Amino acid sequence: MISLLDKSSVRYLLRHPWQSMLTVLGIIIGVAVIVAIDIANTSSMKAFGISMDNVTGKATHSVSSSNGLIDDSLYFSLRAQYPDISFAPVIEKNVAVEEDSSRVKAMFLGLDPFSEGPFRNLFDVSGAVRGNEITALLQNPMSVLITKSLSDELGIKANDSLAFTSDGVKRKALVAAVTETENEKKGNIKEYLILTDIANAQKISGIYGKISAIDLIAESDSPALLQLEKSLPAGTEIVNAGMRGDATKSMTEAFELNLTAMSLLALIVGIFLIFNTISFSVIRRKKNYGLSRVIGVTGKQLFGTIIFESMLLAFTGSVIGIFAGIAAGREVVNLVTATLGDLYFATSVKAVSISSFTIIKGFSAGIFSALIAAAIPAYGVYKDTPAATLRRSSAENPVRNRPAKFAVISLLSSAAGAGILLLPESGIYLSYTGILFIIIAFSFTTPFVLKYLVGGVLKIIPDGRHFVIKSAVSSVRANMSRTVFAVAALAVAVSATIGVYTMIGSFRGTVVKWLEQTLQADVFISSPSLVARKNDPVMPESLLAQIEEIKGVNTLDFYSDLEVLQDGKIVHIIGASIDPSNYRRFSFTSGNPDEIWREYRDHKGVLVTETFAYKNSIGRGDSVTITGNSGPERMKVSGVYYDYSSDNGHIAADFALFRKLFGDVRISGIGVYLDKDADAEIVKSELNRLNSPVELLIRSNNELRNFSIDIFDRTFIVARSLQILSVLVAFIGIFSALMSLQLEKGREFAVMRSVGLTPGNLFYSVSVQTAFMGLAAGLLSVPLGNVLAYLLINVINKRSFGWSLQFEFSPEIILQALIVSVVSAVLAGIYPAYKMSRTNTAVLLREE
Amino acid sequence: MKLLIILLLLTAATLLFFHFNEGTKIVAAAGNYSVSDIMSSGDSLGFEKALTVRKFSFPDDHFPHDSFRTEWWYFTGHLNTGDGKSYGYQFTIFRTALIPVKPENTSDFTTSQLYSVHFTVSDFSEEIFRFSEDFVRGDGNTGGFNKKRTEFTVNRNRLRILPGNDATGISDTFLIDAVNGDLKLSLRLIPAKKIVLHGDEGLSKKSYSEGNASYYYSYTGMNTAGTITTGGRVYEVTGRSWMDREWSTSALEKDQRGWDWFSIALEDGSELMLFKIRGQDNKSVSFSKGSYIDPAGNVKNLTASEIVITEISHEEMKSGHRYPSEWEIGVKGEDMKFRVKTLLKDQELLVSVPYYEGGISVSGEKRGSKIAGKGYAELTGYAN
Repeated sequence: MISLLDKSSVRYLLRHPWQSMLTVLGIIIGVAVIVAIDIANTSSMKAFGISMDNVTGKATHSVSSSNGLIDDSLYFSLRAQYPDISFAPVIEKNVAVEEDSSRVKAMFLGLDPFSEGPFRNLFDVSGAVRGNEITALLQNPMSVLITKSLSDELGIKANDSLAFTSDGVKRKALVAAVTETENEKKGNIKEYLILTDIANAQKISGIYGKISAIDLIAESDSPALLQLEKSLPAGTEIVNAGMRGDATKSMTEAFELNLTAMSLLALIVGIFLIFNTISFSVIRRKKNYGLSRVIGVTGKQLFGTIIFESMLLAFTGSVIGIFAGIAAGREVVNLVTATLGDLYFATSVKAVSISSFTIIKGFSAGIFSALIAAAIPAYGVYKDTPAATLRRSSAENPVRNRPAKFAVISLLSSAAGAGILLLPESGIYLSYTGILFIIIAFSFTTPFVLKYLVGGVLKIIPDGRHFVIKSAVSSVRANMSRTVFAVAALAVAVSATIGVYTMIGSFRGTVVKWLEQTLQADVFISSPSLVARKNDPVMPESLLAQIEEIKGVNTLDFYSDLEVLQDGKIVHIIGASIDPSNYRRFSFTSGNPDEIWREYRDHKGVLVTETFAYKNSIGRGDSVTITGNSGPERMKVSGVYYDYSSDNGHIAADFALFRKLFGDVRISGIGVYLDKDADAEIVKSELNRLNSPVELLIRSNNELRNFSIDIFDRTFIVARSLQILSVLVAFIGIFSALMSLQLEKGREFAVMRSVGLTPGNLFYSVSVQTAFMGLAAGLLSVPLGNVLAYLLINVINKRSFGWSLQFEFSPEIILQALIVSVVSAVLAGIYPAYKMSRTNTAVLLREE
Repeated sequence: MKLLIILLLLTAATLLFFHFNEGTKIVAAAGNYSVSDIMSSGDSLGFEKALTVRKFSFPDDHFPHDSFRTEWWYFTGHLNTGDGKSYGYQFTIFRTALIPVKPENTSDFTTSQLYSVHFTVSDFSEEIFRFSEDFVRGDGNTGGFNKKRTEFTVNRNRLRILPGNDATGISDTFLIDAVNGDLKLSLRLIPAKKIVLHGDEGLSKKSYSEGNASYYYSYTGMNTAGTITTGGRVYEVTGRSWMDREWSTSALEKDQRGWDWFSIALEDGSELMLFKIRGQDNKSVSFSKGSYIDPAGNVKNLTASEIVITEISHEEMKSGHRYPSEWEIGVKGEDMKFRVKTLLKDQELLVSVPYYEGGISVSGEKRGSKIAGKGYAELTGYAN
């Protein structure tokens, strides 16, 4: 019997291909979004892991210094002194390789192939005796190996010359051979490496006598290691391998979290969509189920069949969704990797990693949300008497007649949501649960809103006129059990797009305003950097004097920027020299600016950004540690200022104080303020003629501002694509729900036809009805969308980044939301209306 | 129920599909090269060759000759503890010039030389053989021959040469410190017999063509004392060692496969060095030579016609490689005939170029009277 029922269920699905397809499509999108974002997250982390692996290998510790260079003599003496410890010298630089117009970020690695054995497997040492790429490297001290990915990307082959920029200086090398790394052989991983012998690396990068780090393998608490640690010269320190990697990775935590958060939002929308499509497909067939009960099918059997049918749809949708997610994931990986490279660190590895966990996650989301969605109405079918199941009014009654009950649920749910969101220390997942409650609360106001909206429309239209409109609109209220689901689903999907759009818009608006206030200099000088958001400290201080001599230059602001590893965390420290006339560029969260600046100038305190203060739970008057060349030093936090340049924030100290802490430092950026009557173009051309050992990037105020906004926009590409996807989900949701709804109403239409409505009237009626529902959903989504935006800005964003953003209401997205709702609703009506207008009414009426 | 199972199976299949598509592991194959690959002329352009007889001078010739491609400091010996344990050891430092000329670079790491060490201990009492291989770049700072010209280091392994006060080398002292995990060897070697120049006053030909030769001298008898550390215990050991010094650029012909080389110390204080070079078929003898050193240190060159080396039995190693394990060796002119046997079955070094270097026992007759001895056999070219 079950199998017969199941068969009939499958046949039903096949007989209604449009409804089945749309249901499946809803699940596909839901699952695909989850999978794609997860792939992007895991892949970018895997790529990061591999690039860190290339640097640290199997090393347990590493000796390094704050300025990134140590004497190679230290390496030789450590080797001699500690024979039981394995050591390997490393020269490591992030570089940009330029070939024609393409620019690829790569890692330049200088290693001693013969010390590498215990550390990395990038060289074939035993082959060197016979002659291989190692021999080739020794033959020409300017030669390097490049990985296959790099060779493919740039079309550079063995014996070609290779131009790249490191530390702002253009360098040249010769490609001795192209090598394929173990990771590249595995496929799905691209490694952009320039590998060479340590002696060549010193010559090519002009750092004779210096290396970046000494890797070593030793047990953590072994006496030899402890002794070694004590014997290290000042300015050098020993760190656990992986610590730098972990610290670097933790910089991206907020970004990753936010991405996950976005995918959670997509997941909520996706689950909501799945839930609605499934429950709707059950509700609209209650009559069929009632008939089955009448002919003797038990409630238990029906329950099983309903679950089976939903599982069939969910399975199909989930499997296709996983594939679609993988396909989309590959694209999202590129976006995410590019963003990480723009904001945090130069990535030399690209990987696409599809883990079983990702697949399981996507699959479970699809199956379980469908299961729950089906179980609730299926339970109703199981519990009710056959007669009650047959009577649709029994489903309509509670919805239509008791909006108050729904209002109570809505209130309780919003109270729960608000309660969770108001918890001061709740994490991002909890915050999202709060948001979910708010969404539920809004959904439950739908019957209430619909009821009064219909009533309102009916009241506006004078008696005895526009019969078609009136009947169409009142039918929405009459069929509340179905229309409520459709309208609520649409409202949620549309509000998600409003929420994300408004959040990004507010963020952007805040950043643009901040840029206007902060970027005041007429010309900016930096050196081309690998990470767009950061300027590398490579310019010598001697440049400043040269610039000051240029006619038309009034004042200079300049800064140096260091990333210091302290207590397992990478701390960004800026040494800034700011002319008092430019103090107005900064706004503080609290305190008297004059007092703050006085302390700053007198080296009595430092400044921190709002994000830094948030991340480290400190405020004005507290203190921070800065680990300089002569060890850690506590500094008072004189002020906290608004800054949107990085989510990890930084500490800013007066340049003279900074130099005292870190010794010989280089300049990252210079802001040039011109005399009132100076010609910016002339000064720029003078600046271009500066005698600089490093490459200079000279940009006008406008250029830098646009560049900064560009980076901002790039950061939000993923969020924007998710927003577009939400629009698509909304569209499909509206389309599928309304189309099913109209297709179900064959008999109603037949009656209307038989009482004299023309096919044209019918078409009009259906369009009015769907447009009304679309409009209702659109209107509902406006407050929910803005509430979501508010929560994203002030709860989610604040908790993951610590930024204060100005909420900006975006009328254009509301207009767009309404248009999407109404247009998709009208479109959804076209096919059923067309079908109804062509159907023989007699056939439909003959049913009973 | 049936359908639920089908769904579950489908789910499992989907998950498995993705799981196995995550990427297959590729195991890197280590480069294995044959002896003739490395020891034949190959690309010897730019390297100096052993073409003519040269004048040796000590201690200078103990030190590296970087313009030749290959060079080694080869120590083998038999050691005994006070309580009857017996060991054999090999400690060899190889120098390989990867390119003929030192690169033009003022980096402290600049070098054209690769140094490696092979260190083995054969514990004849416990029947354990241990070996290790280590590499280091020969820049003189990281390792190799140090700038002060006093010692060689290959990571934890060290050879120090303390020159004596005369040019014959008899008063030079050699100090070995070798480490392989918890196995350590620390020895002081003092020559008991003077330096032996093999072949034509130290020019040792390996084939009939010009330049396929090495400069070759040995200390055939060195009194040895020191410690061996194994299993956390330190044993005092004494014994006798043999040191071979050889440098060359190309030694083997293309049609030569490898060699069987023997160093034998007889009870009466005399020694024998014998080698035969096999053809590519691994059977035919392409070249053979030797030296006989009498107890007083006088050397007599042995020619191919005087030497008979016949394999009697073979053994298969754990690696699957087959090596001869027992020989009949005859030296016609000196009226000597011995049975030579390996003292341990498996003494193969599975290093970049696998070969056999192991202790041997010798018993037989010399000029009519029974005599016994010990030595080392080196068997190359059997693994590839």
